[in-house]
Amino acid sequence: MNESKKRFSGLSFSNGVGSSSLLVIFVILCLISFATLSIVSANADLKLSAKVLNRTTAYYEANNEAQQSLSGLDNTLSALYAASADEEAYFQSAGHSKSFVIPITEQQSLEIRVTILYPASVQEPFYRVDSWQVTVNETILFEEEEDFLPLFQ
Amino acid sequence: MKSSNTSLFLTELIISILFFSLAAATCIQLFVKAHLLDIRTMEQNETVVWTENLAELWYAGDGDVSFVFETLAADYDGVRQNGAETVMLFFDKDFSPVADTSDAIYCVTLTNTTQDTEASEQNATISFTKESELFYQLPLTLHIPLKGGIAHE
Repeated sequence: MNESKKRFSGLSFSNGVGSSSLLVIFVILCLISFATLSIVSANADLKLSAKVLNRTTAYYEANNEAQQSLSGLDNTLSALYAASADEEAYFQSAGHSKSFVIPITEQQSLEIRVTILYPASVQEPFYRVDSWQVTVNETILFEEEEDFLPLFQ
Repeated sequence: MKSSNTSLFLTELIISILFFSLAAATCIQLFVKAHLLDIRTMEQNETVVWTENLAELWYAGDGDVSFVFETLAADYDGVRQNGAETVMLFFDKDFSPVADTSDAIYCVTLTNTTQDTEASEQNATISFTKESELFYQLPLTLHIPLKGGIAHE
């Protein structure tokens, strides 16, 4: 009994040995945890912002392509207008509407719909843009029921 | 016996301080890295915001850089117009607009690259520089619709 008591008192921190190690281990573990959390969080934010930036760049590249397509259409319509004898002949060769689909990303496209016009005066254009919108290419399927948001009807 | 305990405690303390120093040095590096990633994230986020602002203003003004300048100058101090083709915005290290260009770290430039302002296709470039070093660039294209009716008048 006396021997075990002696052994126990030998392991106690009454003389200070071991307590500093424990404190340092605790502080180091805290530091490592916070450092890891901060770098993981910063890295995730950076990846997300890079995705947003790439998406923005892709959108404006698609926009540029759409503007060039409109330029081509405008030139074609101008040539057809010059070559057509009347409105009926013009619409027969040009059609009444046109649409372009330009991919932005794998999931999204820029969709432009234009109505072709027959300009009656010098100030009127050859087309009118009816819609200029980003559309989703494919239906996103949610596999888990938890993915849905419960909405009131 | 007391002297032995004291020397043991001091030895442990020295070893603890050594390990703490090593761990702290590693963790500080991780914190610094996280901070740098955070700055890069902020730059990318602000790049998205100002790219969209400038691009949409330029499209809204039919490629007129003066329109972009007048609209921005009404709300921000650090806006400069350099000739008829260029608008420059200056920002400090937190990406807040600054009037004094000597405090500027970031500079955003919108340059109309089409010399003929009457041309049906207008081109511009948005450039982002950090301490005079280019880190993002986006070309823009705008088609101004042709006016019809000339051929049949």
